Amino acid sequence: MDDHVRRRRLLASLGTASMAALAGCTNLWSRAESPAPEPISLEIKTVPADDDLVAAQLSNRFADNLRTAGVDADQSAIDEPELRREVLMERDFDIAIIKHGGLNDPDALYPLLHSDFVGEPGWQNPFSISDPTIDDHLETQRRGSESDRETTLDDLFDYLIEESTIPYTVAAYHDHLGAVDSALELETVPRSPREYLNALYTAPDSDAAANPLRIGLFGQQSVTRLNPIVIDLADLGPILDLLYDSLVCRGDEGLEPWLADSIEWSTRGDSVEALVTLPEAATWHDGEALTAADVEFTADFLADTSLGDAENPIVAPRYRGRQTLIDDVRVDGTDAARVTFDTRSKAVAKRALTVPLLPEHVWEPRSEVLTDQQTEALATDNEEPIGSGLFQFAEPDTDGRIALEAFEEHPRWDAETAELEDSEETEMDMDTENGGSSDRPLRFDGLEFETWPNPGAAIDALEAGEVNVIANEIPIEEFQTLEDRSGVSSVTRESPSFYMIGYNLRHPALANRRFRGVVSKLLDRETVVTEFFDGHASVPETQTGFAGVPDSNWSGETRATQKEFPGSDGEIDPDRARQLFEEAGYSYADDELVE
Amino acid sequence: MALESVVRELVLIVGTMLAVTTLVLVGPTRLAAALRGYKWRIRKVTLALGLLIAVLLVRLGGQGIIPRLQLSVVGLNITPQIDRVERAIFPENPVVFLQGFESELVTSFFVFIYIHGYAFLLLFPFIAYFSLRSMDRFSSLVVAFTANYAIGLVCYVFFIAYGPRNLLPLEVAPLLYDAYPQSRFLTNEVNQNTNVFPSLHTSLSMTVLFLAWVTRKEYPLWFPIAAVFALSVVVSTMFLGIHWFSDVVAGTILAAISVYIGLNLDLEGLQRSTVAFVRTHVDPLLART
Repeated sequence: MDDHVRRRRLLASLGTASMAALAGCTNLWSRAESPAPEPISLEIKTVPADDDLVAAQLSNRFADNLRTAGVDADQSAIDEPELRREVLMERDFDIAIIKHGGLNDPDALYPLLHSDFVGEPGWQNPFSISDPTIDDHLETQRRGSESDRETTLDDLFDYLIEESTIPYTVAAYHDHLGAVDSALELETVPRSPREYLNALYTAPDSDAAANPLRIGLFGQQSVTRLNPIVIDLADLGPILDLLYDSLVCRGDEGLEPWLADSIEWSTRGDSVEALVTLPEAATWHDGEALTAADVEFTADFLADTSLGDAENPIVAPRYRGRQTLIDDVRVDGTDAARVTFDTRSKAVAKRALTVPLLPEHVWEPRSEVLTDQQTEALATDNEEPIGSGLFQFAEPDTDGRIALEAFEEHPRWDAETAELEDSEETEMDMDTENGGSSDRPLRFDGLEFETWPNPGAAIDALEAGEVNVIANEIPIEEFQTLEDRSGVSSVTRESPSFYMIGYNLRHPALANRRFRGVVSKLLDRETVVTEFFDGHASVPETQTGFAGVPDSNWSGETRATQKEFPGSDGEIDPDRARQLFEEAGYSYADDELVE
Repeated sequence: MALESVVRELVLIVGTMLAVTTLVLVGPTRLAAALRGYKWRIRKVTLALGLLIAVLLVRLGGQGIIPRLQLSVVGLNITPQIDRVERAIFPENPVVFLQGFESELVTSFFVFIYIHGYAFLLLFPFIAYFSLRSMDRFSSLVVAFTANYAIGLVCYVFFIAYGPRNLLPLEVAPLLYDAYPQSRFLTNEVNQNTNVFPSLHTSLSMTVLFLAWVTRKEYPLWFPIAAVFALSVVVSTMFLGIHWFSDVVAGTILAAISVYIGLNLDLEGLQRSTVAFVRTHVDPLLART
């Protein structure tokens, strides 16, 4: 595709040059008009229907609509690891339809859209957008005061959505569809460590309590690689969160201190500072004491996994945006660390404290430089992870299975009463019927994760009682069959994840924001939700919603305007679509959209 | 478990079809005579069979390696090109057109053809050609099948392609799996979903058909039967949403090449000259040491 375009451009410019040479004294205008208009062609990449039916359906519908509007659109299917490599590593795409886990705070746009990150792999600006206004706003929302921040962000969202500068759009936010053993009183599939701990107390009888809570995964993921600082294909995020704790975590009330005993905030000039105090009893899973030195180490290590040995810092690709918020960490006694941030907003600074803590004694030796871009830390499988989370690694992988056990020394958790203790600033209640009673409630004997080749096999295992919970999102077509299964409950929860339609700005047409603006309208999101998701999804309505920040995560109330689909009941109206492109400065030749 | 029951059903149905056709087309006398001389017959085609088994083993063993080879070395994803070419040629994709005729009866027929009819079509020639006076046709059949698999294998390393049901889920229904979900167990064992170009269902069926034409004198009735089955298999691969029209065209070309090889490759001559080469060149060398 790229070659194709390049060749055309070359031919076109050769044509222009020769015309100019021949024309001699003709005026400037006639020369400018001489090259033939180029039809606009682009390719939509996503996974095949076997891997993700909804993504393939979206691609199919979107391509059809683009063609109806006169764009020469092709579709391509590639399997997920390859799609991620081509889009997130090599930036080899025009339009990609890809699942995104959702942005839980507008500051998450920083690594996604700031031009500083154009050259970095992963979810760091894969669109190659470089817009000074966006950069400026992203920086200002970090540096400004709390109230200024809201104004800056309102401006930013307005600029991104109403001016169509944003390099992607949200097709729909989909619910997490899950399946659990109906003998367990679980209303959702657990995701956070707290929810997993709650799930541990749902053992229906003492027989069940003699076994671990068995959690099924499916797909191409391998549970052997448990490296918390790299981006892997498999969504092992929830497992890593169980193993690795952070100072702050997301609770019912937003970000709350978690491992930190207390956090004292102060403002110094243009930045906030936090004095973080750790609980005295905090230890790593291997028994070593967890101290302020580990906090300092984690910040330094995420910023440069070579710890200064490489010519250029080799950053950990995960947590990249949050890591850039931390300016400096100083140890202030064994249990206290003073963290200064590159922001004046406490809310933004808190995000930086949600990165997982790494034990210095395990990771320091992994700073060895392997190649220009690689350290041992980024290459390691971290097969026997040592963290400080609510669960510790119990047994190494056997046949794609790993076992975790509750970490009884965890400072926030009292194994006797089954209660999570309050951190200084917050109160947390165990959400179980038995929670707080004097009887020690029945508890599963740890967690066991096992991988199945496909969703059908995992659901079969659930029905057969070999699995208690399926952790992955269940594809809609499988979800619809759950009713017919005995002993299986289907559960849903809203999730911030969405299907992203991403644009590569290296493509000449997609570089034009007005073109992107029209293209983003060519999908009837309402129809998509009913037809493809069977209603288990929602459409974005606000400006923030269109930017991938769900309304539940940010109080953005400004509704996006001019996003209506040019058609009705999912059917695109070619004349209206054409009119939109013409208004954006494009024209048609033989019903083909040209530049 | 589920696979087992699918296979048992397959064996039962195809076995019956083979028995009846053998009885009518080959006849008990001819078959009995052939079986009596099984020793020399087998000996005659050992080399060809060995070759086929070797290629099948490579294919089986390579199942884990091929996808990795595809990605890391040479694999070219041609799915968009196939879709594009077909959009340029046809007003409507042939697969979509064929699925327009969908009804319960039609779908059941093509599912039956795709699984059972195909197995029958591929197996019967082995019995038929085994029962001929000479083993030449049997040998051609085995060599042609070997060529199909070998060339197909190479194509699968070079071309990554997903079938229409994977690229165009709104236009093409995965009829095979809708109508007969158990078949997934079978096809998952045999196929990778990226291996659609060319269609081996098509190429092997067309190979049988071409050879049926060659042997129309010996088995006059077999040619029309093979024609009905082979063409139905070809249509079924598209009707069921598994293959593109392009895969079918490529499959037919592959069949023609394979039959040419099957009819012209002088395996024994090759063996003789190899042996002669070894005798004249290698043996003296070995003797000297």
